[in-house]
Amino acid sequence: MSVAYKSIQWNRFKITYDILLWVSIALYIALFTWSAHLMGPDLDMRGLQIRAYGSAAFLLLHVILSIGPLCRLDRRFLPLLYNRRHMGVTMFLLGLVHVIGFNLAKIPLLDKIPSINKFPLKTTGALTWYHDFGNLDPIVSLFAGNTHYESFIRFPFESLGVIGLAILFLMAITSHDFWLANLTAPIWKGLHMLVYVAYAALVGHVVLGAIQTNRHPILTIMVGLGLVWITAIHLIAALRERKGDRPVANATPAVDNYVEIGSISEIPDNRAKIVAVAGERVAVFKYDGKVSAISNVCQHQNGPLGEGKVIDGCITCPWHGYQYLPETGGSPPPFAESVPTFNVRLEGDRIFISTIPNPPGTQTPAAPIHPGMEGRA
Amino acid sequence: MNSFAIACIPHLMRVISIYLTIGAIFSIPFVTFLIRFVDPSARGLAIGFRLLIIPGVCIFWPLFVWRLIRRKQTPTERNIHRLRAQQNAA
Ligand code: FES
Repeated sequence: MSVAYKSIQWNRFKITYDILLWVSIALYIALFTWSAHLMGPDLDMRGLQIRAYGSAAFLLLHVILSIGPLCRLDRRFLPLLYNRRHMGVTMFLLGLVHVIGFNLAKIPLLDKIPSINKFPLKTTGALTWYHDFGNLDPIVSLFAGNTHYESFIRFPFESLGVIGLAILFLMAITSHDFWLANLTAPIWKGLHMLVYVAYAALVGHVVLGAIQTNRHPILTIMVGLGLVWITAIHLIAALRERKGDRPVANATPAVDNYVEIGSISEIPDNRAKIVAVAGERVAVFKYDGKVSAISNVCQHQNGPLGEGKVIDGCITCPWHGYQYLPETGGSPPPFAESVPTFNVRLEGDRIFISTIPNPPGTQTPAAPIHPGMEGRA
Repeated sequence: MNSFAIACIPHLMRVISIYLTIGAIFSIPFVTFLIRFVDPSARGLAIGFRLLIIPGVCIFWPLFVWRLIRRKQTPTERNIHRLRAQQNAA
């Protein structure tokens, strides 16, 4: 048995966060259209709105892509990580409005409300604005209007936008935990890694769109700066992570399948040290005068168990609170999740762990810390 | 305008819409009662959750049809520790 699914896991913090997000987006769109209108009073309002929604989605994509590496560089960004999915869905909706527009009074069910017309909340989408004329279906016009796939400069930037939006759509509809569990974490993660393909396509969409419609080069420069920023923080975070991930197995050769991973005194009570053993991270916990080691990967969504604490005798995942007993790696009944465990041996204050994982749920005795062991070399 | 593209795109759109329509039809019995055979975590009424997954079911419906036929449930991820533990146990 596991936790039953809910629709959206809103709590007070997430509600505040979502309100902040939506208010900032509304402000951005208002500011964008207003300032662009000031600079070019003869520009068509509908064209401006299309760009306002498109650029809001593109900016939000930069924020979303920055969250992962920023969290790896500084844990204070973590709250943003827990709310990233709401941002992703919001970004997709902005992109969708950019393409098909929005009219409050035409939304099914809402259109039945007689006073709905009093709220003239509507905006034109690029599909109607650029492709809905003549006798061709707008979708056909979108794909058949420009087929210069062989040319770089004349490449149909609309198709790049469609690729980007299709990926954002796939990500948005699979953002619920149900999909993570049912597609399995590697496939789900692979699918969500496509966000980088979407980013590349959208960079092309914005830059080529700007070149082909003779916009000011400032837009291209800004997209370039964004690209430099995204690449730089990813590289820095990856380098930092690689440093911390050197497998201990290489540092101290395994003797009878045990490797030394450090000393008891370096682990605070009820906390863990994370080390890479057997090709994956292992969390070595110190609690109740004992040391236990379990695989670092939470069965729920691969959360880092070693960044959690021992609460009420259970290792508690820092992401969503799934719990595991340190000596079996199993969740306390009635839950059925379990992770592999590792045998632990103490010599003086040195900790040795087995390089061979035990099957999830195996009873694995913790290594007791005898008086005087701690701090003794 | 490319006449080949103009001729092909409507056909492609038709194929996509047929696929999605089958998915939409399948999603109704799936989210109402079939879902508990593939994922025991889908318990209780949870109407919001059931509505929320419909768009995804319209796309990934063949996966669930397959799992229902094979009587399979949500799989447990196989990471390297789990694989090694399994090998060693064997
Ligand atoms: S990842 Fe969700 S509880 Fe561990």
